[in-house]
Amino acid sequence: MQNKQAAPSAPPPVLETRDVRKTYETGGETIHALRGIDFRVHQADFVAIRGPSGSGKSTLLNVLSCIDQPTHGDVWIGGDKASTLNERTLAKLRLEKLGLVFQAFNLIPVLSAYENIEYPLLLQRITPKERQRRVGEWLELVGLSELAKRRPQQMSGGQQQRVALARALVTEAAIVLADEPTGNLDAETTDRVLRIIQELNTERRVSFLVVTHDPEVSAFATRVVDLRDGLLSEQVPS
Amino acid sequence: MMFRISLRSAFRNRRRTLLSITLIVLGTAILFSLGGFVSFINGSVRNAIVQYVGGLQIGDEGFWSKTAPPREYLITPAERSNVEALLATIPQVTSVSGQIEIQAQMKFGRASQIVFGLGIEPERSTFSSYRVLRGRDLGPEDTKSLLVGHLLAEAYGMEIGDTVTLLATTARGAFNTIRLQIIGTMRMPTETDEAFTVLFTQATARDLLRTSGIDKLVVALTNLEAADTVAGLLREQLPLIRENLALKRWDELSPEFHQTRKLFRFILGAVGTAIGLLVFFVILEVLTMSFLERTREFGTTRAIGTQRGQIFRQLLMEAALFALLGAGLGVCLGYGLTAIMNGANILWRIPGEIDPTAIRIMPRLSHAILPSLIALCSTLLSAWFPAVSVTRKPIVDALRTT
Ligand SMILES: Nc1ncnc2c1ncn2[C@@H]1O[C@H](COP(=O)(O)OP(=O)(O)O)[C@@H](O)[C@H]1O
Ligand SMILES: [Mg+2]
Repeated sequence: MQNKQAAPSAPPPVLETRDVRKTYETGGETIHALRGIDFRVHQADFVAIRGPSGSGKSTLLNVLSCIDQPTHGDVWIGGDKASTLNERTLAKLRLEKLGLVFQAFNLIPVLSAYENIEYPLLLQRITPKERQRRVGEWLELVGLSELAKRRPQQMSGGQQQRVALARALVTEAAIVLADEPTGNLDAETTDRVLRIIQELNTERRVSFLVVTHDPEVSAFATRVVDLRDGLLSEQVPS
Repeated sequence: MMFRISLRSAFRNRRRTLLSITLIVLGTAILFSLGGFVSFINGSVRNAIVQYVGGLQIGDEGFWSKTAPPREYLITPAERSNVEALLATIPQVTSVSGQIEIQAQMKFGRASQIVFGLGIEPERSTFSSYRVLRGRDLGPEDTKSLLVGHLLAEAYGMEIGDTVTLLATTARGAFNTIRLQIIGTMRMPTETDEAFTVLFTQATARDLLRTSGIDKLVVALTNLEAADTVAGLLREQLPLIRENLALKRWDELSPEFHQTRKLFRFILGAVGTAIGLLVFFVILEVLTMSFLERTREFGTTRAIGTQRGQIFRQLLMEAALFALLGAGLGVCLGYGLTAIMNGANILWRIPGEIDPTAIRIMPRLSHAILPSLIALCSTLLSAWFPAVSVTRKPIVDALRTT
């Protein structure tokens, strides 16, 4: 399923980086978290980024999610160069084009499952009828129609992460970026969440970029990329 | 949705919410009742003043400024009837009466004392800043009688039926004495009044001054709000009757009224400021804690595309909810408080009144404006600072907090 052709007719990548570097200055010490990342994600890719703790996975994902700026280089989302956008436009771009999933689920605690999924649609000013249709559809897709009224603290980790997935996808984002989405889940729940992701990837052609140090996650991916000392090396699948 | 989040977040930590709302409720209730109390005081003081000076007074410039030679400023009977004819055409005028003020020396036996004599017309006068304590009141036919302040009577052992002699300078500058019989003692608003004032009819005063004129005319009005209108009419007409005739409104005649009003306004302002500051600092503490606890939530919502300004507004809305709920309940409690105060029949001697009166606070919804504004402003202000700091935090840092 790999997208290797570079024909001029090919659609632009969903996400692209050019020589992205990130350094942190802490107490006189300079940490080179990213040392020059050149990388593309195309439609329907399911990329797993592996790497040991401290290898810069979160740093990379934050930069790709446009919630952090690289020290050097550029990030392109669709046709937009993130570094040229102001804060407002960037927030709009995240809302329209990206879906974010976090390790700790990060649902809004005072909202129900239904309302959490509805939240980005309200930001987009989608009509009530359309909102209802889409939230209902996504609750169904992640298998949580029964729990629509539950608040996050009344749900298990796996259920919360499925709500988070639905929240990330309800806006019809082109790509979902997830930082250790299964890091807080047990093996069985991890499997369930990964299957949902795989299904969305193959059937809806949504791109996924999942950062993980869990070998199980990479087994589901179509591309596996290793991050070591701030540099990427793509594994050619055997 | 933002409103839903605000509303639910506001009531997430019950104990803290209860503390904040209680504080706002109490602050508002206290200010609201105090506002009612102050307007009660102001109204009462105004009534007391009007009892003393009437709505308007008309007299010669020389009389008001005390620059004219003695008694040159007297209003003649002819001028008086012209003025009265003019006043009769003004519907807001309810009554007119003449007054004469005389500084006299009073002799009682071998004792001698300077007194302030007031010549009134009992049949028309609205002057009611005295109460007869012993004996009887003045009547129109009393030409050889007087009432004395009860402290004056006590000081010299005067009894009803005793005779005193008054010595004064006549309108022409000569000395004159008359003998008068004490028919009663009276209580007045202040001890100074009670120790120095004597009251007699205008006939007596004219006899003492050997004149047919009066010092001034006291005009009673249907309501005090009409004072400006009537004053406006008169200011044009009076000089046609006599060049130097001038009028004074009730509030110009009693600077005490403005002082009292200022004093109570100051008290209200001070209490309002104190409550506002208290609310500000306590709510600042509460909201700072509440917002900081939710830093990661704001990091998340911003990461998924919420604008910083939307979150900022959401937080201010949360604070406004506290304030409006608290202020609303506070006004209700304030109504309760004033009802309790009224029911307790607390007696209070209003400055300018002779007898203590029971406190009767009439709370009006307009008294709720100031307390509600104070509650709203101080709460919004206390939300402002933590809201700014929490929404300024970079998203990645906000997401890292727990
Ligand atoms: N805000 C920061 N300030 C300073 N150093 C940081 C910061 N964030 C990450 N780092 C450093 O950058 C490197 C990569 O971190 P991170 O991206 O979190 O790795 P991973 O997610 O793979 O564990 C680590 O050495 C980490 O200590
Ligand atoms: Mg990490």
